Amino acid sequence: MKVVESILFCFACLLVFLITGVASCAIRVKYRDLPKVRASLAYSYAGFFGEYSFLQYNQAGGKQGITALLDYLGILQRIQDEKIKYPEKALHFCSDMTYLRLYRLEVKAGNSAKANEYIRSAQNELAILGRKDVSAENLIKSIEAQEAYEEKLYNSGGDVTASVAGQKP
Amino acid sequence: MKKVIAFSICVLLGGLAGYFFAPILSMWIAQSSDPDIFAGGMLANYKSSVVCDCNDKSANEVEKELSEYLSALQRFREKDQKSRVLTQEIGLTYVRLSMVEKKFDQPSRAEEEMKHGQAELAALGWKDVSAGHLTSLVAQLNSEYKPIERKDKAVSASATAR
Repeated sequence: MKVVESILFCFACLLVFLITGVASCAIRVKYRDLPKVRASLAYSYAGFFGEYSFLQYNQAGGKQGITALLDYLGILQRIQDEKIKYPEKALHFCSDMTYLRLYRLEVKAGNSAKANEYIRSAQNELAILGRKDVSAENLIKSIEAQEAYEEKLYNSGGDVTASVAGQKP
Repeated sequence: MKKVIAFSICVLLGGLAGYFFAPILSMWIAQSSDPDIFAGGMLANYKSSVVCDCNDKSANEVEKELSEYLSALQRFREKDQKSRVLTQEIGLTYVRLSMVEKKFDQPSRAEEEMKHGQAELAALGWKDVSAGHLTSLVAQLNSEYKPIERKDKAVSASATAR
């Protein structure tokens, strides 16, 4: 009888061990580790893909640039849809920049309807960020200045010590 | 009383085991629920550690790391042959390798690596794939991967602002 009692007690101990283990693991995974891991991976991936799309826009342009920028927008949208804890301001800033680059490529390709569509999308992103002056003229001026700066930096052996952190997505 | 103590110890040990197992489980869940973001994120972190000149690496170490990174990229491309991101990354890695070979005074190898890089990037529609342009472009890109100062310690970091 005592042996049975001891075995039952050991089983009960094991059960308590497993239940508390599963509970503490589930709580830590759900509320801390998983959101952190997903955010960190998404941040790295978006940065990596952002550089790819920027280089395609800056070095190839045309259809190649448009495809890469649209792919990048898809990733940013996916991060938003999957509710990954990604800095919201960075997400809207990168989307805004990408729409403005798409605008430039569509203008060069002579697709004014599409270009205007992208300007409107860029305005929406900036409005979400709380910017007051989101007029099309202002945005066009800013992307033209940005493009000229990047052209100098990446296409004519510009100042290699200059940091452009924060300027390209 | 003894039983209460035994149960308490089981609760404590179970809680600790679960707590320390959680990070492994989180990685596994992230990998299986979002394989693209997981693979891309890991590749991006790998790239940052290779490209960032953070730990005063010798030219030999840089060459070895770049070659290993290139092999990893080529393995990835075998699985996804249409990936333009991988094509661009492979092209840029060839250019980085070519720049290192130049430092070793091995012009024929440097030229060979540069030709591979030019072929990959030309396939992506890059307008200017001259050796001079690609070298200055990659030098600019490399300069954006810098270590950041954190608590008086230089730690490696990618150009996170991007």
